[in-house]
Amino acid sequence: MTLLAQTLVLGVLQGGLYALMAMGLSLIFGVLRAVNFAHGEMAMFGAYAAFFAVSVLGAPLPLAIVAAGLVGAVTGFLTNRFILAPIYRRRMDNRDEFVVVSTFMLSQFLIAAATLVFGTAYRRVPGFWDQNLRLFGIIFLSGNRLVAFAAAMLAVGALFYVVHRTDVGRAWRALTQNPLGAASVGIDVRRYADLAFATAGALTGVAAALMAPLGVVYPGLGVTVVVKAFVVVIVGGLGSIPGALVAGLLLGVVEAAGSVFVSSSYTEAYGPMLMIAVLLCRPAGLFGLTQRRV
Amino acid sequence: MKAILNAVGIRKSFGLLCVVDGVDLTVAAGETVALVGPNGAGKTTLLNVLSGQLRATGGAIRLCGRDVTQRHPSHPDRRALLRSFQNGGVFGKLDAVDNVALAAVARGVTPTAARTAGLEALERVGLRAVATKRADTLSGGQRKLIDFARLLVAKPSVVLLDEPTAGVSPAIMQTMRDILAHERQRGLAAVIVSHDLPWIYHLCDRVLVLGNGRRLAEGSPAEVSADPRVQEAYLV
Repeated sequence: MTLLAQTLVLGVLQGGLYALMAMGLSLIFGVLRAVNFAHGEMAMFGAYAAFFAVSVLGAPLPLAIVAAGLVGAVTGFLTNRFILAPIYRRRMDNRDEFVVVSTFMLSQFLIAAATLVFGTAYRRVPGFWDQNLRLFGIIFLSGNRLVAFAAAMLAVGALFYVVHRTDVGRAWRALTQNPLGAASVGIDVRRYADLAFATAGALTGVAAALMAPLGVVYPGLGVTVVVKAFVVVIVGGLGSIPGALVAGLLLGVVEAAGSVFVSSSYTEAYGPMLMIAVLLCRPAGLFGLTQRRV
Repeated sequence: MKAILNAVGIRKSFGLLCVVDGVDLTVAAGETVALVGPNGAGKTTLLNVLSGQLRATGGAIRLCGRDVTQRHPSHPDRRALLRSFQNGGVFGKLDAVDNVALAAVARGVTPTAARTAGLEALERVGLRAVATKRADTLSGGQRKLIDFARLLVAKPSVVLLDEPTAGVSPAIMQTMRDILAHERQRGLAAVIVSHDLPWIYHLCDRVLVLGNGRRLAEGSPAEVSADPRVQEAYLV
């Protein structure tokens, strides 16, 4: 029983970070129907920003997280403005294929550029709270994970507020539900796409900075991130932000349970297995729409 | 009179199929033009081209003097135009008032003012009581009225309405007619696609009849009704 509770808590703590990582990807898909394969590189740049802010500039960790969010936001904004917007502006019939190919190539380019500039060394970011805690006397958890989870949930809460309580969020939801209708009402698709990409980049950058003390920072970091984010977004339902939250937590719990009760050798396989299982039962994901809109 | 919308030689092809073939349409401020024709005549396709949903294969479109032929529907140059869709352009998961207020927000109105304007517009169309209900819980007629409430807050120069009266009650049709009559006094130009000929003939100044993507006839409701080509095509 104690082991089960311990596993659940660990899974939820990790899952909160997965959810934050994937929410930007889901937001972009919802608003633009764009699959962004360079999503992981926003995380990679965010993690490097946190590392340099702490190691080179001597900034405190909260400031490093803000820096990671800013760098992620700028990366996202530039990705949309210089890679995707020209594709949309031309209004090509097969724009989805161009988006996939161009974001994939951008991802490869950014990894190569980061390798060239930052080198291949693994960098470490100091912890937020290097303390082992005991919950209810039976559950052990690291202070770093707890702080990262709490910060991730704050960011998730902020996103939910923006989406449901502001006009920017209403415009995003309108674009998600009926892109042609939204454009006809006069909603500036380009402006809201810029905002969606910047927000996605900021969330992903923050998620990467929060995860940095739990792992290492290196140029290929984004590949792991994007795989997890795709699993979460597909399980939750493409374009669904609540779906991304639930699926992120679910992925964290499934990975933790699999590692504890089956084998930790297959940790990276549990996510894809979960995805296949969900798609067999619900092809559109847990919160996805059953049919594609025009 | 000053032309608000001026479309010349509009063509739209899908591969080898030409759906709209060289149609001219000019609408002046305060003028209402009915766009009628049998099913498959190209009426909705023409609206889609005029509003930018589809790119014209040929021809030119000027809106308030600016060339918008290749402009995306959300381009600032197209803000003077608002359109409705046959199957409704509402956002089902947003409240009715948010559906309306977004049209004002998109035109630079502050969120608070947009919401106030949205509530007033819903009052005008008789939907004040359902302002905070999700749009997907409203009836088909109420959803169509949301388009008219948007028209009131967005104050466009020209509106394109696609089958606004399809499946709505006589009371709602009267509300729509009243709003259009009121808005044309401030100079609103309107292009309305409708199969409800008595309703549209009562409202419009001019009728453009399409057949197989081409202009079949154009004139006043009386002239068009008497035109043997039109009668042959579908009216009789």
